[in-house]
Amino acid sequence: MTERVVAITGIGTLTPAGRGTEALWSHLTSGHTCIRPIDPHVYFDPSKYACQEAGQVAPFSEPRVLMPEMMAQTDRYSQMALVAVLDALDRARLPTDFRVEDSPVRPERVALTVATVGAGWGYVEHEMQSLWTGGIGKLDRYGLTAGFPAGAQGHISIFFGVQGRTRTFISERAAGAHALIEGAKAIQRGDAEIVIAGGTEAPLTPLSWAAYQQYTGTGMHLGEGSTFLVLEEVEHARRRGIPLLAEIRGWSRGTNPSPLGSLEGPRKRLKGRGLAQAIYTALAQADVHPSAIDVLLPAGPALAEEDAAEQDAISSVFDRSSLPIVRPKMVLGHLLGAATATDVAVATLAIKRQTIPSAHDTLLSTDLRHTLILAGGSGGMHACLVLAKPGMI
Amino acid sequence: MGVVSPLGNSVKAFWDGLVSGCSVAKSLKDITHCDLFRLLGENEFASQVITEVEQFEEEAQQLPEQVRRRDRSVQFAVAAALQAVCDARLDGSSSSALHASWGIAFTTAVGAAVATEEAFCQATDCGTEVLDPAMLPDTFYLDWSCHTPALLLASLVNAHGPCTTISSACASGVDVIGHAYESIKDGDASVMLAVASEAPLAPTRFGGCDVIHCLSTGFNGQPKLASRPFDLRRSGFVMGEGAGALMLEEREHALARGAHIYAEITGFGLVSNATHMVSLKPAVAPHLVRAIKQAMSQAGIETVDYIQPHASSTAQNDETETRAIKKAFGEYAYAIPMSATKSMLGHALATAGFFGVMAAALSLERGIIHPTINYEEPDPLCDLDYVPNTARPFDGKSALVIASGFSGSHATLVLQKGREQ
Repeated sequence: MTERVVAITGIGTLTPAGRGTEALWSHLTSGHTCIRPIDPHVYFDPSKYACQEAGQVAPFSEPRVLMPEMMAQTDRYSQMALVAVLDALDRARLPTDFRVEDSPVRPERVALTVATVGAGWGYVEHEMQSLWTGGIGKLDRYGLTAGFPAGAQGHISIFFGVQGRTRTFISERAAGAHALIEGAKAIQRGDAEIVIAGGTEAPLTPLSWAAYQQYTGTGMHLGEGSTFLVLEEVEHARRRGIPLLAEIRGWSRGTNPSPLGSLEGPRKRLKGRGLAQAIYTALAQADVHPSAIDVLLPAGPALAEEDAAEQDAISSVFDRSSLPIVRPKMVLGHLLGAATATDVAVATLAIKRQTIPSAHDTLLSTDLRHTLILAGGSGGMHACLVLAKPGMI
Repeated sequence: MGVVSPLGNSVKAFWDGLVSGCSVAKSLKDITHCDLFRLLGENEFASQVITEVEQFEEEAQQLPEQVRRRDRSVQFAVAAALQAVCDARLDGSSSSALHASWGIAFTTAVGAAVATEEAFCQATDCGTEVLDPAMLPDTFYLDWSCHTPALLLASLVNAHGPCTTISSACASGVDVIGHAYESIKDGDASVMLAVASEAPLAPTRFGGCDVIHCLSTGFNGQPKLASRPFDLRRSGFVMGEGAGALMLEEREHALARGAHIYAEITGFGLVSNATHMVSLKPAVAPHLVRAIKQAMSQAGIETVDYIQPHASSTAQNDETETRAIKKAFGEYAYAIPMSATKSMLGHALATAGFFGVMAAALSLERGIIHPTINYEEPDPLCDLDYVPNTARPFDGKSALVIASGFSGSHATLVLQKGREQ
């Protein structure tokens, strides 16, 4: 049996940079930050919070999926995800309902993985407020399913007719990598031909923001948004004549457990050894030497301790100072559950355009063949993905 | 194997309770762990029945201080997981090389319901004021994040492999075991600690289920009769709580160290019905059939000897599930005994399916299947063998576990008797 290879054939993204890949690319190349003071008219009055800035998504609407009844029963985290998935499917020239007769793939062969950290807390807080101030009669019949972690998964699968595997990852900031890796594995194992994989996050609610503040203080800028990718088995994509944007060639997940007490802080400097090993594992799966990596997208900027550990790992694996590093989080803020999917989208665009996004929009003289995307999270979690230009064996 | 449940906080108490067929359901007004219901005042929830974990304090005393400070659902998770680690007797061989290939797979459907709602009330003066972040407990983030149990466990058992938390609503308990099983099968880990935990009994989460009429309302005055899967007078599920944990180990790895094997996992299925967020109307039955067939075909078997169904005691689920099982197994469905843990334990959301897997494994190991209690009036639409009211001996070799959830997920698992037992 020949190995099943995973390609990316669609990208949908709605972030503080705007909607669509053009908006994402042009913001990254301009280098101007999207971090702004939190808008009290849209979110909440941030004056009592230590950090009062965030990456915010401008008002959006989409009559094809955000109909009034959909708006009424979903939280913002699902609404952004529905738009990102719609755009990703459009880009991959797939139907917006896999149940239609002329769909190029049966709905049971389409899977979905969703990453989020906080899910629909905005809706939950609203329900708590209603119950405590107005009594049981004020509770909303959509309250439970709009707010809980599997909410976006449910709405996406029902609207687009995804009948294969569906799963939501809530592994804090590593969730995004976990969702993409699970999607890639599902294709590799033969559980699906197409996986809609990505993440979504709406952290700008009073309780969520207060929770994050306790953990990140002012040391880490956060943002909201959603990015979804269409992962597709390479031969399946070729048969229907859709261009491959990039291939996912390697990955790994692991943990460098921190001492029990350090989760509560003060956080200790972490070691980079586990991550270095994980990078080697992913590179080995992709069958490339560290010198073949043309661009690196790190997990940071995140927390200082994590960034330091990551830098140790990068230095130990890549003994060159010239490795180009792209940091979308500097421009957008850390999009939490949506961060890794957004990084992978940027890496994919870099391969597609053969350009490193920077203020100078550097066109490379040599081939841009491989990119490495790192992810991390609390408690020493780490993960990585290796992307390759299509058709390189 | 480890457990924290309304029937007791050890595998022995859990199993003895299931086999004896005693209900521990009680009135919502007798809840002991959450003061929020009293604080809310005279409540008019349509459902007034719950199951609750009791006498957990002794178990909690043995937990590390950093765990005791956390929400109930976090404490349950760690307590059950540490029981499982101890039961697997892997701690004697704690070389770092071994732990390099240990992973954690955790699941919860709603996370720390009690701590988050208490914090909300504290920081907003019960919803009447704008939230004051300074009023939150100072490590609130760790209760708010659903991933905290997995991180605490990775630290406690020094697991260097994948550390994931997933959520698929009420299908989560079976899904997380499938996820851990595949992590071992794919070579990502040689030992996986799979854990489900839920403590959803706080007013907003309880109310969120109450307003969509999925909770039991028919026996508010007789709580012990309220959870009655497949019975004609069933009217909804009884919300419960608890945690389960399983050490999954690659078979050769387990045999090489002479470990006790409860059962082997040989098949897993996961599908989405893409139909409705909360309804389990009969139209979804073909999707459940698909999930059953996925797990059966992966296990390479045509029939099973026993089923642990989702059996939530709602009108829709039990009818649809019966229909799907008949479709999947044909006439043979009538010969397969099936029993519902929820008739005694209530429905602990993500943990519910996990309890089903534990009960199925114990049935294969111990040769007994527990009853479905409160089965009094047969429903013509539910006409299979539900092992009504009394446990019975069992010499089967395989079992199927089913879990269905809001958002349209169905997860299935096939267990077979350990071959080296």
